[in-house]
Amino acid sequence: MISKNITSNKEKLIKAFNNSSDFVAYEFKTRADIKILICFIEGFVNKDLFDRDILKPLILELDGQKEIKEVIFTPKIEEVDSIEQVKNEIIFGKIAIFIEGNTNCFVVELIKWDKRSIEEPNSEAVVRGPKEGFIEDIEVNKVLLRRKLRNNKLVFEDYRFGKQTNTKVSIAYIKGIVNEDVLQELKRRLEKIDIDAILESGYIEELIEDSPLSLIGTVSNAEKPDIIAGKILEGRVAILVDGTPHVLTIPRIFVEGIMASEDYYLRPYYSTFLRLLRIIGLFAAVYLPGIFVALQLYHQEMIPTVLLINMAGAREGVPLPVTLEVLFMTIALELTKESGLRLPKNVGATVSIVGALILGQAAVEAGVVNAITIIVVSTSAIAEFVVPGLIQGIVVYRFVILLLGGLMGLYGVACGFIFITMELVSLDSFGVPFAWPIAPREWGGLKKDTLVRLPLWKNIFRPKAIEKRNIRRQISPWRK
Amino acid sequence: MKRKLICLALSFVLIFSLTACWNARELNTVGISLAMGLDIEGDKILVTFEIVNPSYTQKNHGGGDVGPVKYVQGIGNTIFEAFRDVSLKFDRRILISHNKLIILGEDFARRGLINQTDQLFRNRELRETAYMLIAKGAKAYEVMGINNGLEDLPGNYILNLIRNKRDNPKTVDVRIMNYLRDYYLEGIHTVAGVVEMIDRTQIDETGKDMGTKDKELTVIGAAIFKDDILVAYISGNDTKALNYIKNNVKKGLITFPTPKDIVRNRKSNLEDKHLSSVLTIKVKTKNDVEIKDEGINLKSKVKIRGTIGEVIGDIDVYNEEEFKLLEEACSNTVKEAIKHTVEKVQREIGLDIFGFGLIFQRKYPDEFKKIKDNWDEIFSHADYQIEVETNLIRTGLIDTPINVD
Amino acid sequence: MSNVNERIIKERNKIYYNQTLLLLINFRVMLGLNNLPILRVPPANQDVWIALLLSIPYILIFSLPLLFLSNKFNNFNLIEIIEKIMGRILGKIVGIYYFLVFLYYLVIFSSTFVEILDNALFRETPTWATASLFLITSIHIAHKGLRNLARLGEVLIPLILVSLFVFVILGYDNYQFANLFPILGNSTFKDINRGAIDISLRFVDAIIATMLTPYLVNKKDLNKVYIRSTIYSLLTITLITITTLTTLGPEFAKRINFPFLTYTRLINFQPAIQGFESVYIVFWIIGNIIRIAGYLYISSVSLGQITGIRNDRFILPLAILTLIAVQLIKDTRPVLGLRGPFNQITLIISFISILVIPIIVIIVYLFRRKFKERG
Repeated sequence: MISKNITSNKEKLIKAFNNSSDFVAYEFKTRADIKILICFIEGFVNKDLFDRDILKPLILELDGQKEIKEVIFTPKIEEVDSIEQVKNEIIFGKIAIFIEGNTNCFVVELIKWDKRSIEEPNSEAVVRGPKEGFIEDIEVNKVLLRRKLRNNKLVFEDYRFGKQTNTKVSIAYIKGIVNEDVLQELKRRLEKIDIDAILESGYIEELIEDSPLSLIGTVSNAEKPDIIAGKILEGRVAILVDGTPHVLTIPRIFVEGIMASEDYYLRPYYSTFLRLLRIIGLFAAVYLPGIFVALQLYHQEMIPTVLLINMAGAREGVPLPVTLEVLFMTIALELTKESGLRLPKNVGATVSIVGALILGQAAVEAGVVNAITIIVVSTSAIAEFVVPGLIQGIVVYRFVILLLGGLMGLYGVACGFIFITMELVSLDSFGVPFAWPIAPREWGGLKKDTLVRLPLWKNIFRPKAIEKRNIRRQISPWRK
Repeated sequence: MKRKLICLALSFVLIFSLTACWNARELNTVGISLAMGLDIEGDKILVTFEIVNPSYTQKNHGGGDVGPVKYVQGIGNTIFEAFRDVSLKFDRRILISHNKLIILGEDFARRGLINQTDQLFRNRELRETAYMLIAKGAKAYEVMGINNGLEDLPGNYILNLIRNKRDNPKTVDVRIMNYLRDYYLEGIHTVAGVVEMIDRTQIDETGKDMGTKDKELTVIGAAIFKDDILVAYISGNDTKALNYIKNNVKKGLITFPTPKDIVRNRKSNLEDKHLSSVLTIKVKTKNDVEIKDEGINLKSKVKIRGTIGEVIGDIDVYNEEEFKLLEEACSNTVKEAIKHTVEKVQREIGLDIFGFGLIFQRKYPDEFKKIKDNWDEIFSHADYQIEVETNLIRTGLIDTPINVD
Repeated sequence: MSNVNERIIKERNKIYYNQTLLLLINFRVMLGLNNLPILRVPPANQDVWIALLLSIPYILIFSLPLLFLSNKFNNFNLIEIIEKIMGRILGKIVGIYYFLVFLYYLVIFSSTFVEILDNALFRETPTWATASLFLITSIHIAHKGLRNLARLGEVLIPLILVSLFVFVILGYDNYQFANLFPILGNSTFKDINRGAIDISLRFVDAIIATMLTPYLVNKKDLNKVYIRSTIYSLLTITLITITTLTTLGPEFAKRINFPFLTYTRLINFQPAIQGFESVYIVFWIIGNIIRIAGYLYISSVSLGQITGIRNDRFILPLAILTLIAVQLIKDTRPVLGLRGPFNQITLIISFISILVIPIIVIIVYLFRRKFKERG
């Protein structure tokens, strides 16, 4: 496929890259008068090394006798024999070397481009535990993961997706621990992907999900190598996508939402307390506004008398019906949240202060909303942040429960509760029940690492739903 | 997908067509009633509600000088009619689910309760945990406005008076639920609490009598019903005895004469008033009934556990014998008081308010079926025996009285 | 066509031992809570709880024929079994009968539930509004299939049961155990037996159990599930009955439509916190919706069996039918309050479908087997 005449190769390539300005095709002669063509994309290549290790030796030393590998000092040199393949390699930042009269092309890797340094991810800050997070470069991410799991059984398998973007995607698992059924299912689903662009791991997530229409995703993601390593060690498969620090893991189970990496680094009692707190937070975030409205509208007898009188006093003169009042406050709060997130950092602070002042104090003093409503709404908004993995579902569910509570009181809330629970228990993630170990119930899973976090030496087995065969994690030190 | 959309669409149609209707009650459209009074006016029923004015909680926000409560009245042939009559006079719907007190005027109670109050129990709003009180010698609405406590709301004032029963068993805390439970049982007659207006001398800051009189309330005593008709009242001491027999006493005071023969009286000159008191910690009563040749025998066995409250007269509490005498004296006083009450009830009222009939029924179900119609007759001629046992288990911070060497 | 579908449904809807146990317990306990005017069945005094306990063996005896059939053909549900034994046409007729029975129960339970909601929560809301909300929820559940229904039950039913026990404990202040005495003083053994038989005929869940058998992962569990669920649920109901009896007294309790609701109304936790009945009602609602969804699912399955069409298609029409029926019934008369026609009809229907038909089927089965052995 590759012609012996490098000028025609050059023309082909230039045509293939449509005269793109960052495509470099450099043609020259060595001292031994051999015509050579070097093609690469500007900016992908480490120029210093390129001059020293490729250009100089080629020009000075390449003659008829010496092999090219004897001249160029780099371990990553491959021979490629089709122009198509050359094109692909160039796109990924490699340097293609054509030699006059040769039907092979040599591809050298000398990649260097600017990347973000490894820093603590904003979304997953911890007090105790490693502070490093993934970055956008998949190769670095692989290294980060490999550094956590220095193990020859850790396998990376590379894929490329996106007809336009040619994004590198890599799945990582530990052979022998991974659940083979899940792995096969994942590969089957990955093979079906045929899309023009993968810009973020969210694309992959949506394309391989079990129930793409549910509010809570069945693929989880994290930004930190220790979290991903922990999940891989439980038998899960990680999916790294080039260009994003968010690494996916499958299968996901619901209780991952109430877990955090720090749970395993802190004292078990405290971690257990934190988990209970997160469960309370989860319920408060979803149900508090709805129950508040339901009680106030339909079940006044449940509110302690003194509180009820205070609430009635606070409501005197508030123009809106309580359902709408809570609804508007919730929407206003979501607005503050969203704008605080989107705005440039220095303006964001101003917005949140103004929002807090306006929404909090001024609204109460103007008599538009009452103070207790604000307490309830903001409590539920604060509570949602203890379970960051589930926020996307929580926000929608909160509105549903709120409307049902305003419509039918606790009866509506109960129906909403059934709907939500049904949604959660009916999900599957790659053949693993999403609500495991709650339903189908498994006591072992429930009491060891779900509601309570037992001490590490008690937690001998991996979650059984995810990995069925190789389940022993350790031999308890107390047994020895 | 299609199904989900249909479900969603349906729910939204429902939600937006139905919000805020039917049973929904915004808090600023209801009046929270804390106490309810029922009276007879002529032939009709007069209902009085004590409604909280919620604005009073917002005083610091310029709520003004509004009083904490308002009184609203309605009149009608039945209670329900009277309720509805209120709605034409008062702008808010009345919420009675926080009603903790039902005060019945004496006239109303003498006409019989159950037949007239069916509505209250059919409606889920009224709570069966509300306390039932009879306004002794007065109309319910006369009692309702009086507040001599620190509570802002008069209803809470009365409520706390009843709750103080736990410290002083001279009253009864009968909730509607207790009343109904006893009403349907055979072999016991119901009692209810009493609230009574009394005069109080007004005292100014310096402690001088201002010469004017003020009203205050007391809940001492109990009202006795035959079926559902008020027939009599009993005094505070009798109520205490009633509570002792019904095993209803937690904390209470027993005052009794200090045993005379050991009063040495070396330094003190309290010649005549040697009274000591015991604070009960736990009182347990067991009642029993026996059939004799003629009539029946009623028996009670009271066990008191208490702590010495005060000892006047010089008894050496360290001395085991004298300590025993003290216990005995306490027991005797209780015994006399209860016996006195039971005999008084047998003699003057002739109704079994203690529930001996229940015990009889449980012990001799077949015999009871024969005599249940004239059980009260039998009760009032029955013999009564009582045993009291006192154990003083604590002596307080001092043991021997201070005036003893 | 239908066979393939059936097989897919059975494959997809595997349920486990404890899930089935919980579902059956929920069905029973809810029946007990809704119809606690069980206090009105024959002994009708403080000895009702003895009748309840005594009904455990009666229930087990009455469900023997059905259990026998299910054990013999544990890969098939009741309707398939009957079709197999009685032949196609007769089997279809009996199948339609059972479908109508399920539908009848669905309607009765829904109307009872509406009545609960009307009396306990929403006095002014029209029937169709209360009914449609829970029917929508039930449709959603039924559409998700048995597997998810069982999982839902596994999450929610323990909550319901725990809440019941918590209520029983919280109301301790109001107990008066004297109300239970004299034990057996006012009622004869005959009365209690009559009551026990009456009660046991109300618990029709044997049919449900036979409808669930083919989905059980481990078929051998069937008898264990059935016996345990009967015992656990009746013990729970007995406990609830005893608490209401001791708190309210038998005479007062008899006059109340929902004694346990009244019992929860009396709970005070500290003077300030009250109104526990709303919490109780929430759990009551959840339990009832699971139950109604279960019946909706099973009637759709039986209809699917008869017609050979996927059962999903019937869920919505059946729910609409129920809504209309509930509307018609509820607008004419109360279901629970009257000791009227529904009670009688229910007893007769359950007698026929639990005992008469299964015994006939067993006799036919035995004859045929004999005939086959000879031939």
